[in-house]
Amino acid sequence: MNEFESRQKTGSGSSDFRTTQWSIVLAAGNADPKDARDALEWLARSYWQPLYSYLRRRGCDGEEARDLTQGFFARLLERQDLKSLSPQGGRFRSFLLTAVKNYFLNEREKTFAKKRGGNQTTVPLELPDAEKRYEHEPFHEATPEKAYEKVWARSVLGKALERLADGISEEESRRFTALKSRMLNPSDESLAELAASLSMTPGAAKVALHRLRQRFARCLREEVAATVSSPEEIEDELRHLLESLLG
Amino acid sequence: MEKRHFCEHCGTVFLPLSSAEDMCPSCLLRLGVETVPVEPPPGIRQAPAVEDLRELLPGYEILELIGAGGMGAVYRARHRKLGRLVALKVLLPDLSANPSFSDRFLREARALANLNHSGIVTVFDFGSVDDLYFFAMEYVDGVSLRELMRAGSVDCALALELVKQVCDGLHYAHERGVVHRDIKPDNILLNHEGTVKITDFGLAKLAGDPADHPLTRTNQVMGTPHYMAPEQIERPSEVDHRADLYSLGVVFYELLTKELPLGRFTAPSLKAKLDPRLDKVVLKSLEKDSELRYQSAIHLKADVERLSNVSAAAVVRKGAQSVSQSVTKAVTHVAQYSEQLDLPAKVSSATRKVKDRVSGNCSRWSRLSQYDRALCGKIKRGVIVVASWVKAGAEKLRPLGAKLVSLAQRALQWWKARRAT
Repeated sequence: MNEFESRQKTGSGSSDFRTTQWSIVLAAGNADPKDARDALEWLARSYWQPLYSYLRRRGCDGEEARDLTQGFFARLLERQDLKSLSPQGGRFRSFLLTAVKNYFLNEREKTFAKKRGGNQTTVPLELPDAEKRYEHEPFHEATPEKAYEKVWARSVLGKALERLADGISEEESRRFTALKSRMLNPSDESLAELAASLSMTPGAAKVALHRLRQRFARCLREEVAATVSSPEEIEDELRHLLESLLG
Repeated sequence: MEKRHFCEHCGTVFLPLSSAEDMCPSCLLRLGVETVPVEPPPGIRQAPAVEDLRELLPGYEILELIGAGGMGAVYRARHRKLGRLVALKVLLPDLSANPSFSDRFLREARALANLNHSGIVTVFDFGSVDDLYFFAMEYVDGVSLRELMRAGSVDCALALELVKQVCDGLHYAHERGVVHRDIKPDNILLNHEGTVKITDFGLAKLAGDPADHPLTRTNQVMGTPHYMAPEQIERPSEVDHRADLYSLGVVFYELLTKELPLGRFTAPSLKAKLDPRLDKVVLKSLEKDSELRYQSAIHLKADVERLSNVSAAAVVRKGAQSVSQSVTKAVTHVAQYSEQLDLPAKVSSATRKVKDRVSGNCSRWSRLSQYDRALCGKIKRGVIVVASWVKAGAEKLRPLGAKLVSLAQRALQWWKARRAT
């Protein structure tokens, strides 16, 4: 059991839990501001897609949404008032949605007042394939908030899968990919097939699959931990994500 | 636009996360949320391969590994002499860390083998070979409450029936001084006759004697903190039967609301539009102080019984309806997506026909064999629900239940055969 988990389970590790990104940002008041900025930047890089989708659903076109997303993160990272956040400041997901709502309304007013000049982007935040990914999303009928929540849940899941694949060597990668694809529905027949193709016994394949699921569950929790303010919120946030995705 | 995929698991059409992923995001997330990460407890080694086990336990024909977890591994096996199917549970303690394990195993196993109740998975045999300890238990062909909930097949009346049955099994064991210590939906099974069977009685204690271990270790052994009574986490050595009633309270809440009662949770009646009288019963099971909780499973059962005082006829009607509805839903799904999924026209037209027939008449599913597996799974689960309604006092539904089981089995066989070709 790694450090993170043992704490999560006993619920006694608030001091070390602070090392997750969002809790660093929240603790900006008594921590190194550079750390807080770095942590926030990491979060921004991970979770810009939900924002982009939100803005698109609010009626921005692709270019506008891209500008606004970048402008928003630039503003966020410049903000001197991170210190005013409280360490019990809730979850990054909710914080970001509120912040972007305000930002969007402000920007819209400004655009009405004068045609907005070029956005001074100071964050080197690339938005690769933003529009392509947006089009790929199946939620065009949802409200902007719902779209945000759904894309958020998908982003977390995507990050967890990346984490799962982290450190898999090239020799292991074939086995890993094969096992991963059976993670959801390991029927006996497909398991036997899988085992044969990987030259494992069915028993060994089953155990390997069990381990992979366990590791996936841990990766997911680590990913969520980065966006909440205390370990007690992890399970609750997970359920929220699931509801968003199913709803 | 990316190609849409069909998820066999949940029966919906989905967009994968990326072109490199072909798994259904909702099912994947659900899997991750519901898998509670457990490290193998100290001293429990990896599950032995089927081949190795065959050598160690020649008295059993080891068929397959059906589960591996923190406590060891479970295999489906056949007792050679009796010809009877069993679930073989293998524990692999590290004896150097647990010098007294052998004695404790013998003591606990005898207590478990003496439990003889229709609501508890029977222990037929136990023993040890080298440092491998095993139980041979009744093999239950059915689903766990976890699977039943996942299929969305539990409504309020069924939840009450299930809880009542669990109370019976628990009361029996508690009277004999045996505490389960790990009641959760995965450990409560429902067979095709609609009988609840509690499994893994007392194994949590065996795998990790709380008296020997600090808090975290107990957590690892149990693996399921969400269902544990507060005293079980804080003072594991003082746990008595009332801890099981708390865990059952969590299961009860989850059955009714599909959620766990975490933090400051909402009363079940508000969450799921239920009879508000239920709240009192559920909340009393979930009292943090064991003195304020139900003091006996029989008291909990009595209160639940009072609430489920509906006429048997109504129960039957509702059961038949719910299955009919779930099948209609499943069929509608297939019909709806058959074009996108490029199913053969034969299947599409058959499903439409069945849909017409099923509406209002759930006894004439002659075309079941046309379905795909996701559908078969749903039907099978539906059948189990019907069986439990039968159990709830509906003699009239018994033949129908049996008929449904055979239909569902035929459908599954057809599917397997199709897979094989």
